[in-house]
Amino acid sequence: MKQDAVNAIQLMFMVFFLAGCTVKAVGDPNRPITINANVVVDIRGLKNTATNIEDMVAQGPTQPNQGG
Amino acid sequence: MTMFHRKGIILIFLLLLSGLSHFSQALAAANYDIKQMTPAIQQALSNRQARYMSIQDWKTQGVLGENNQGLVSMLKNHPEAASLAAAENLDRDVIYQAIVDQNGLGPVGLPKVRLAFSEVQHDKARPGDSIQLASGAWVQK
Repeated sequence: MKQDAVNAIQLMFMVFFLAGCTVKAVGDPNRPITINANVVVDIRGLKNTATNIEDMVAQGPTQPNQGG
Repeated sequence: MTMFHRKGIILIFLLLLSGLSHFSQALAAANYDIKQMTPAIQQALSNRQARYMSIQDWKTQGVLGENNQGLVSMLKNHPEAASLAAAENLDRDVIYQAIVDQNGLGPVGLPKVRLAFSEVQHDKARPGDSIQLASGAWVQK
């Protein structure tokens, strides 16, 4: 039973290592490698941002605080 | 159950768990905030707030409309409205570019931001306001 737990932990570390491993590149600093990453833009997220900003704009100029 | 089978089941379970986590992240809408409120962005927002009612008035008169690029367009000649529209569009561009830059959206970001804002502005348009569809045609909402 104890051995099973140890095996499970070993497997867990293995999966975490594979899922989140860091790759370190070693090369000539005078010849930097350029990586063109594809940026995926989520239109829903942008629409949420746009809605928040347009709501704020529609509220008009901030009124001075009338209260004490 | 052999040791081999147990290891296999645990491995499959962990992989499913990892996949589920990625799937739920994909389902949630990404968050593209203005992360740093610079003086230029604050000024652009304040300017827009100050001219909001005037823009609405010109829209009601059919002089201005919301185009499909997230900007206001002139539909009838009017010098006062033209200068207001030019200033409004400059401020909108400051805000759009800030969202692109601060969220690392890259070269494809600006058209997407413009599209998102144009859709929201079309949603918010009042009946009778002019809006430009994705096809380029102008219609009254």
